[in-house]
Amino acid sequence: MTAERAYRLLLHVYPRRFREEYGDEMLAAVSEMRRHFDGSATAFWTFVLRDTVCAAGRERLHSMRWLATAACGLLVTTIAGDLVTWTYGYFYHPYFEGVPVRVLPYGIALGLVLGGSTAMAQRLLFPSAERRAHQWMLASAIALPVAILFCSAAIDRAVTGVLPIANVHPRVLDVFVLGPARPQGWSDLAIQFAAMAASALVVRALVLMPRVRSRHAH
Amino acid sequence: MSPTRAEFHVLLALLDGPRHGYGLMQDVEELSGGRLQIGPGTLYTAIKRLRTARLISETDAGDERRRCYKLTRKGRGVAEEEAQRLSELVRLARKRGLLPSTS
Repeated sequence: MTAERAYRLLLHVYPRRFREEYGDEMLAAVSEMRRHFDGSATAFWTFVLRDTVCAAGRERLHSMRWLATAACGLLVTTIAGDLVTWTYGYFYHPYFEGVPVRVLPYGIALGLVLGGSTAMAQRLLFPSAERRAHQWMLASAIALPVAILFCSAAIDRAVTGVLPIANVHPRVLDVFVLGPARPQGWSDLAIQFAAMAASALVVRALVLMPRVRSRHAH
Repeated sequence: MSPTRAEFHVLLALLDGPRHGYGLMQDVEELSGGRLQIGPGTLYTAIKRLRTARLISETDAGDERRRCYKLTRKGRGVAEEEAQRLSELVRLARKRGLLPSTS
């Protein structure tokens, strides 16, 4: 088996996008390197293997940053939602009985927190101009509210009554569904989701568009 | 952006003009006096990061399989800044007696 053929197999360790972009050039480089390498075949492959493991590991970790961005948005929004619920419960007074928190402003507020926190995480994790800024913006504004609202509802349904910790466990997530706004059905839930997604999208657009514009200007 | 050791060596190698991947690997080894030997994985992850940060760009090499890379103006600026930073560190190390004084 030639060095090039063996290295072609090794390339599968790298993320697909990276392999498609640089795979051919890497193959050419390895084949030239093999021709000019002074040491034994064992020394050559030890070097190449060590390089592949380290570089592919870094690249795989790098390509998982979207997960960290999403997790940061989810965590910050959950904490903010919990704080709102706690504050609402703490300052509750019978005078406010029957004055419900509207799903629309509550959704907008959560969306602002979500948009802000994911934008902040993206800035920290992607210090250089990000090619897919638009996709990121849409993903965090739409996919995350969907995940938050519907996963929390699903977890709530699945866990309640099944586990003894049911009353504690879902509470962390279900603030979005059972928070102070308390959606009264699917239409309320849809309004809350739409408000959340739209406000998160606006925040992301305001934060990211100047970056994208300045990138195009260069 | 602050370049890593391998990235800084790639920027230094490109100061002499455009290079393709294997040429860069050879130049980096030569520039570092054989102390830094980078493989294709390290090289192309560095190239990807430098291209994303617009410190280097692709240039026509007349070869379909191999692309050549050249330093951008921004890349030259970052390399200068990094060299300045390292020189400042060396100055500090001299001042603290870690390195012999040149005078």
